[in-house]
Amino acid sequence: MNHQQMSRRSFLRWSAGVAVTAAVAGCASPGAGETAAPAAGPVVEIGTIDVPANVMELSNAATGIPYVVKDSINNGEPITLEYWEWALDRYEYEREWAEAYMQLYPNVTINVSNQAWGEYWTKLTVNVPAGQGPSLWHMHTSQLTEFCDGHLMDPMPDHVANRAFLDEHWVAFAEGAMDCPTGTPGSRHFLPMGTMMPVMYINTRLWEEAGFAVDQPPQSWEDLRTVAKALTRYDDQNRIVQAGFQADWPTFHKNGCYQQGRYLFTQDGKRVQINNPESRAALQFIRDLHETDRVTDPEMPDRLDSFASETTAIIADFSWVTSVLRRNNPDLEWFAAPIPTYDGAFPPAYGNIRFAVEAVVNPFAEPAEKAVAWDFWHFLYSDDVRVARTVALRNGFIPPYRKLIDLPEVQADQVANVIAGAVEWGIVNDTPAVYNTGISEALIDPILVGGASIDDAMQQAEGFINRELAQREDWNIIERNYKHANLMIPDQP
Amino acid sequence: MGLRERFGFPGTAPARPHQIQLAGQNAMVAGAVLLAAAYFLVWTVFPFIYTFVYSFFDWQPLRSAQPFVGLDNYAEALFDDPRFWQALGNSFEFAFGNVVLGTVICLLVAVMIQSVPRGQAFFRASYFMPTVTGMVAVALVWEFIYQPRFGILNTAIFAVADGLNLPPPPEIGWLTRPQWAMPSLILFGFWKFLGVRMIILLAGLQNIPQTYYEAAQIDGAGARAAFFRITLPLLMPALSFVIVVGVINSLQVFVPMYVMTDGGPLFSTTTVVLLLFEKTFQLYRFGYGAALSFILFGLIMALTMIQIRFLRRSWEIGG
Repeated sequence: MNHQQMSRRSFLRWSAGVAVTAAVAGCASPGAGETAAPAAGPVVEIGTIDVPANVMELSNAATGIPYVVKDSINNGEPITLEYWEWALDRYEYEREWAEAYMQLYPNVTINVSNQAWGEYWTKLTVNVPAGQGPSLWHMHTSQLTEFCDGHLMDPMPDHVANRAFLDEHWVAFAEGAMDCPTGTPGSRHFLPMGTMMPVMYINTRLWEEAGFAVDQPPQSWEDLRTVAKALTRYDDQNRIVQAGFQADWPTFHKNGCYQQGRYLFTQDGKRVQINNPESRAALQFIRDLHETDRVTDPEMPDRLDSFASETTAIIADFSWVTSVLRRNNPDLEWFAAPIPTYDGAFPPAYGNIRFAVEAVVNPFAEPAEKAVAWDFWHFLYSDDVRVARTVALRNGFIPPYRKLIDLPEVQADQVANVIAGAVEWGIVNDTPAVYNTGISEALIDPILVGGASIDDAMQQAEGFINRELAQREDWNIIERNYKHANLMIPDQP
Repeated sequence: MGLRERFGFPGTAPARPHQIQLAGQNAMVAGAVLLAAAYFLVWTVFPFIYTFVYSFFDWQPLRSAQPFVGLDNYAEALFDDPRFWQALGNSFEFAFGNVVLGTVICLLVAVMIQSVPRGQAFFRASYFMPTVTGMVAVALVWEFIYQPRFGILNTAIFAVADGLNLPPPPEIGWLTRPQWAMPSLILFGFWKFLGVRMIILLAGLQNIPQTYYEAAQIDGAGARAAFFRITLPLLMPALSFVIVVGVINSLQVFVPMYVMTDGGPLFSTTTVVLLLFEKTFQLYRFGYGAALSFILFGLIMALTMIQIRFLRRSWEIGG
């Protein structure tokens, strides 16, 4: 038998060749070569870009532009969209949306895939700029600044939404708008399906056992102090076994500053404002709750676990907590109330507004894919019930489309009701992750755990966060778009 | 002369004079090697080089320009970022506790299991079980165990104190106080990695011929002398492996800190890898993150070489 010997040199050459081929093949766009050649005619037939006069009577025109079912999409040629999501409960209803769209257009395939949060942003930030990644993905408010600056969200085309309509009829849309470097000046990139705000959750049983009436929740910080003390229980070693009140303290501090008229950032958005009297007052209140009133301590379980197991009577958190409580603890009886403010009044501000952003479109997708993605996106807002019920009420938000706030089911939902009453006094601001980490680790922890003085902690935290912020040029901080800016402390840096 | 020859172990099998050449054997071998080589090139060499190159750039994937900055990222980490040094200290604290204490205890466990006349398999399996459990899942369970007010650990401590009629001990904030957080993570890491280390050491112990112990016994050596004069020297190759791999793994630790403490309290459990993760995926400073990873890589490499040199010498000379 003749065995051809391969020299070492040949072997190495061959190996290198195969490896390079494999690498090139591995790095190639997965969609490349699969896209059908476009046939004649537009991918998506574009109808009107005008807002009809009777728009408020229509139930398929939340964006101001009614959604019209097309005769065909992509000329009937097969086309596939990838849609990423990280939350399993949303993934379920988003799949139903995709199914509904695919029934209208059988040539369109939408793969909704659930990606773990831990790797979601890693994958997106690596794939999208490289021209890969999904056609659409569920966006999170905490990443908006970075994605906006990074040109990673496609500008909303005029035929799917009318900017002036959104500014007029959508809650906080104008204040929350970011000027991303992509698109024409003023173009917008997302349309939130929900608006959330901080809410207080009160355990009904513990509240009533302490002799309080459900219709009289605490309104000011001093009120909160009184009820929290009454609701706190200690064991025979004087350890807290039932906390009167717990909060996400960085968020409490943030809202505390807003409630006293102080913004969190300087006007240019490059530095934080921590070392000031308003911040000190909020921190002193937090410290007093822990050390003077002893209504909670750092050794208590996480606020959400603790509330669910009835070892904390009241918690304050963003209203997304509603969906967790409803899903995981359906038997727990609680009621919602506005968070207490510094002096009991909503002005100058109540607290932070955050958006449930829903889908954004990949700007680097192929033109046909992008056109279909935007049509699907438009389809998502083509049903008022979908916007109001599926997303907002299910997750503890209000539907940002003002018309829908008046729906009876929204009015009947106590969390939505609380938000609806406070949203006028909300400030849109998506604080960057470095800010949140800095407030937690360099400001709150040193005071509550490290025994640092408030003044020292404020000074150090401000320096720490400013150093972190300086590592990027721009943060797209939009808190000063607040509609009641005239009531905030004047002449802030 | 190597250990095996010095202790009279049988040598390796002699080379066979006539190897049978099968049809297509070379192609098959080449194909297998090529697959491995391709995999290694694509998933290890290429990302390694790519990351190294970009550690010299202000690489931020969300920006269009990625300017070359030379050694700035390295200089920033070493001279201008106090968090790096704190994180490095935390990484070394974890590595020291996890490797030094962990190895000693693993050795004791392995020796104990070795000395059990029956049921060795049961103990081996029991100690190995944590190794096969998912890191994130067990980290969450341990977080619950460590919960200061209602967690199992403090509850047990209080119950024991109560049972012994002792005054109630102070409540320990295992993960909530900076002085306890890292030791708690070290204990968790030790539990998680115990199985692998124990199996390696046990294999090393089982390779020591019984005849040495019998000879030592005849010469009048006690158990202690047998352990320090026979067991420990002959176990040095296995111990060296456990220590070197332990240091590498410990310096790269990420999940327990990410899940259980998120680097807190007061940054007391922020390790280099957690800091690298923050800088890379919160600030999107991929270039700086790459520089941090190569500083860590250099440190691990230097430490590994020192350890190998030192440990090899000790088991070649000390044996």
